[in-house]
Amino acid sequence: MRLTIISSILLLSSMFLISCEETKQDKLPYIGQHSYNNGDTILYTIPAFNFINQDSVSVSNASLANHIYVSDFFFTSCPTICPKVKKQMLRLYKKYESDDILRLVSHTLDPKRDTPEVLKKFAGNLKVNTDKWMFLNGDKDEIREMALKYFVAVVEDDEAPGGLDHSGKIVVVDKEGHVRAFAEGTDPDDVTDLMDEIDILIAEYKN
Amino acid sequence: MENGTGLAELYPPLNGSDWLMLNKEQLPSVMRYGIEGDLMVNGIKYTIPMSGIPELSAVEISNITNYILSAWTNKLGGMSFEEVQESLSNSDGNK
Repeated sequence: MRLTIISSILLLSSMFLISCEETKQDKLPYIGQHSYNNGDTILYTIPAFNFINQDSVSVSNASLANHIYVSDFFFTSCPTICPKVKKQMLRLYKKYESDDILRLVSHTLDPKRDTPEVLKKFAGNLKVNTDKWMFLNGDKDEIREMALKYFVAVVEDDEAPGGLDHSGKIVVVDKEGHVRAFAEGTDPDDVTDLMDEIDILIAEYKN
Repeated sequence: MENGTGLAELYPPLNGSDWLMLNKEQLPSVMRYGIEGDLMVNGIKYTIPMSGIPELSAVEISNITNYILSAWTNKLGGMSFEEVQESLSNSDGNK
């Protein structure tokens, strides 16, 4: 009897230890299709890019190299998921407003209509500082190609409201250009979990 | 948005909106055809054009309209299907 009690206590405490270990994550995984070369792992990396922002100033992967950034794809006239995703991006903006390590990068999928001028007005109406949250415009095909690199599928579809079908993923990229976390931008709970993951990533750099 | 509050100065609220109170007969038409031009809601000017969703049927629009009119803290009454169809027959009123 005594033995049973002791062993159940041991079992319980070891379960507790295991569950602690599982929840207390100190490093985020590396996401994407990694490649292998002579036994070395080459981590999946967002390829080099060069777009222009809401002030027609060039923004590249190099100019973001000192920052963790969260990325999404949208267009200003999108009637469906974009406003919901933007609301979640705004939550992220507000949470990390004073932490300079984090940037937000929104790419327009409709660069013809969403000129830098339109994007600037959009940012102004959203009441955000564009040093922290930038809105990128570029060649339509290059942006769509880039969306795929962030695991965002884009399909031109005349039947879809607004003419484009795309997913509302919010993707977290570290300073080295590796994808470390993502969330469905239409799901507030998923974005709450993403905040915990971003905190872990920030701690990786600050420790 | 989930609670009808809109988003900053981009998208106007549907909850407690003075514009909606005064223009509720326009709501079905806005849903189908969109709206552009300046829109004053509760003292804030919204200028981003909002696309309509032409794929929604009159019945769907009727259901959404009546949901919005009584959702959150709204108590704006109901709208009959005839009134919804009347609104949908007017596509030019939103510019």
